[in-house]
Amino acid sequence: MKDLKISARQTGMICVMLIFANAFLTLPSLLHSEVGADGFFVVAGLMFFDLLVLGTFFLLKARFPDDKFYDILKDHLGKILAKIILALFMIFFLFKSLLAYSVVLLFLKQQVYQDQFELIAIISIFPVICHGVFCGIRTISRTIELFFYIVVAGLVVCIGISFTNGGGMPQLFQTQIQSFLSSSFKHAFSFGDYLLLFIIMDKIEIKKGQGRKILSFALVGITLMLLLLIRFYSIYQVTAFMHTNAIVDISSVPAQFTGIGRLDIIAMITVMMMTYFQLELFIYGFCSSFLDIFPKLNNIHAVVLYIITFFVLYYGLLSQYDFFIDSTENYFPYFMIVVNFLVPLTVAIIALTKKKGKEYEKIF
Amino acid sequence: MKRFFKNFKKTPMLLVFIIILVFFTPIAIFSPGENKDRAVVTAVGIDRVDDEIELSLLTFIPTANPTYNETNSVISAKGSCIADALYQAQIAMGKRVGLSHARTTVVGHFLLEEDIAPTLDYLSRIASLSENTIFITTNSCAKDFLKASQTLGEDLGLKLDQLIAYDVKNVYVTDTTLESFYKGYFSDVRASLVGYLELVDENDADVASMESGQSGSTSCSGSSGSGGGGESGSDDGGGSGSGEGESSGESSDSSSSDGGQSGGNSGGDAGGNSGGEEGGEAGGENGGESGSSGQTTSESKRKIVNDGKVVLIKDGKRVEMLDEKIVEGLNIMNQKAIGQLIAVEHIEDDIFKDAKLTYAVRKKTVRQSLKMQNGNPILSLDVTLGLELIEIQGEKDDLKLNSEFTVLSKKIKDKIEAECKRSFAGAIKELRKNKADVINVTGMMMSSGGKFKEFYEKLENKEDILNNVNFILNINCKSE
Repeated sequence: MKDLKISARQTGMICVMLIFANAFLTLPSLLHSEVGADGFFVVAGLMFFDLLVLGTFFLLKARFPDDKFYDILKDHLGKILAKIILALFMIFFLFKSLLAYSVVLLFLKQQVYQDQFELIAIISIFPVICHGVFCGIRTISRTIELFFYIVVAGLVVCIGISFTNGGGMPQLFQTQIQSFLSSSFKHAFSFGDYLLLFIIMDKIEIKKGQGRKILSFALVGITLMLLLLIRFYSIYQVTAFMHTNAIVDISSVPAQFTGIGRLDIIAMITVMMMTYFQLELFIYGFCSSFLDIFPKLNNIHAVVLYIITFFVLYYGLLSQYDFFIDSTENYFPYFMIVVNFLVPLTVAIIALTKKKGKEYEKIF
Repeated sequence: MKRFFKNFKKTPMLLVFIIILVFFTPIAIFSPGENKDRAVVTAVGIDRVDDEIELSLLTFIPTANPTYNETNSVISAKGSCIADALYQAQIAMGKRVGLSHARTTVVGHFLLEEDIAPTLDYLSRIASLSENTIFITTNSCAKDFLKASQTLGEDLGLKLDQLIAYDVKNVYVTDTTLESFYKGYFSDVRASLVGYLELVDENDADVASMESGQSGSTSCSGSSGSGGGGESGSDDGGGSGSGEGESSGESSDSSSSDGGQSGGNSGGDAGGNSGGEEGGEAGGENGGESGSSGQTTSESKRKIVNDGKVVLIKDGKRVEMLDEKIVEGLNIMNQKAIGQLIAVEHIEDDIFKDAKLTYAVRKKTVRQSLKMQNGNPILSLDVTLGLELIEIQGEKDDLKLNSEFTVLSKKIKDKIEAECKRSFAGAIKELRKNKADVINVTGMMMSSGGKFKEFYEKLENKEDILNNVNFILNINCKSE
């Protein structure tokens, strides 16, 4: 993988793209079946936590502007612990990509194709994303830059169309704090996307004051997500649990207006584009972590390992979608405590233990 | 050439592109058109026939023809459940069925005697029937209704969904989609309003009117016992497609003779229950007519009548038919309901002598506020109506839009207020009787929180919320 650097603007766009596809599709309905419209607060809370992780990234970047994440961990925690942490990151990215792929595949099967779709999906997705991974993070981020405004426009249009669907105020504050916390814990795996920034931190160039740019992009992504969620709960209210593809459901036009044609296609294109970029980024994260653990191997080994593991898991163990979704809710949250809580906490401590004479780079 | 291969090697994506072209171009070129494999369903009808479900699909099969006429046909099939019936329908027509274009879903009269939601669940969750589909019911079989709907287009150039869309916008002023049904069904009140279109014989006799107090029949054909419905084309097919003329005639036979019996016996009473005096007369007449024509209507044509009625559904079952008057009463508190007419009679003042004035509501603002008085919640509704005088009957029977007529005297205002209050009270009485809070007082109380939420949660019978809330209606009229 080529080691060309990416700008703060490109990093910001990656932050928007990383908002997990699941959050736009099945997550809102899953949350509704547990905590009703208060699912909005669950997402807001988990995204706030993600912002804290982003803050940790900024802290680390300010302290070690040019260092590799692995080297920082190795210097402070030792080689073995550093490799264990990266192995956990590998697993995290592998399962994130699995979940993204299976959710989106199910969505496309429901919306567009009903049979023989898997082969088409494999042929049209994997060569492209693997090629992106080979080309490196700069190529990925430049492609994202090219399509970024199309994706954002797609999201904005979908949210805009949702206002033609009417809807009232969702009934908020109806659940107990205990349900809120347990639901947040259950769905923690659908978040934690900014962890990728740690893996690519040495390839990000943040000049003085440019941290704000990344933060603004991240906030745009979060705002869009929360807006979509509030519209979804406003429109569907008690039936939100029945609507498993939030972004499409909010943009489906009422039957009285179907004369203007079906506009779901906008949501579908947006989701497909986001999926491409998300999968590329997750696979890149997987391969990058793998190469840090096994520096003697090259990116072909990493990609081949990823593809083999992916398909073995997808078709062998996780072909049962329900089982997979259940696993993400029952087992992965514990994994997320380590990856998305303990690791950033450790990193924050490392970043805050300043050596004499070494100053923080000003990125804000 | 060597250079070409070198470049080729440098750009592996080109190879991927070529592979994709090689794989998919022949498939795309040689695969048959989707219309050969798929039938586009524009409306779905669901009936209960004995112990089976009958699914009727108003199907549009795209074919090239020199005119612009669409070729629609009703294909019906029976099965033990919806999935089975849909499967049989696919076999019958030799095409796969796509329901995502189905704009209308009609539920037959008899199916609404049981909880309909589990039956619909398969269609909406698995078979991709959009929740935005217009959801209506009728007084007869959904299959006959769909057949009659074909003539709407042929005779009047109307489409079923357009007809209902008008009602949704101007008559019910509330959604009557599958989604709105589910919203009511899954809410605490478990009630919703569903659009209703009547199917009548061309001689205006009601086919199986609900007002006629029909009882005993629990399915679309066969069980009524007198019409030989079991012999219909769809029956012998074991779930295959049914011949249009045949089945239409037969079920007409069965249901009209049924209506004749029950209407003749109890039409007056049942009419009185559901719609007051007028309904009573209509029930009696219809019953009588259909009774007398029971043996002769088998070949008669049927038509769809839209008279603005809605059906009140509770726990997924039909509990009451709300006529246009009650719908108007409910619309008083609906800000979106514009264009309704308010008629006041016996107006005597400086300008009019014993006149009947008809006003159209051109503007409306509704302010709702919940108050608590002596431990009881009160819903206060301040309605401001912008009225336009559109017709005068009486001494000045010509329509004059002069300024003096647009002034609303105190007498007229009082009469309008009394008329609105009477209408609103009638509507609330009906909802209270059925314990169906379709006006969402529960939602208002829950979102108001505090003592209202507490009051609601303490209620023993939460369904009976309307009987525990008092209403104050203030009408303020302005001329437009």
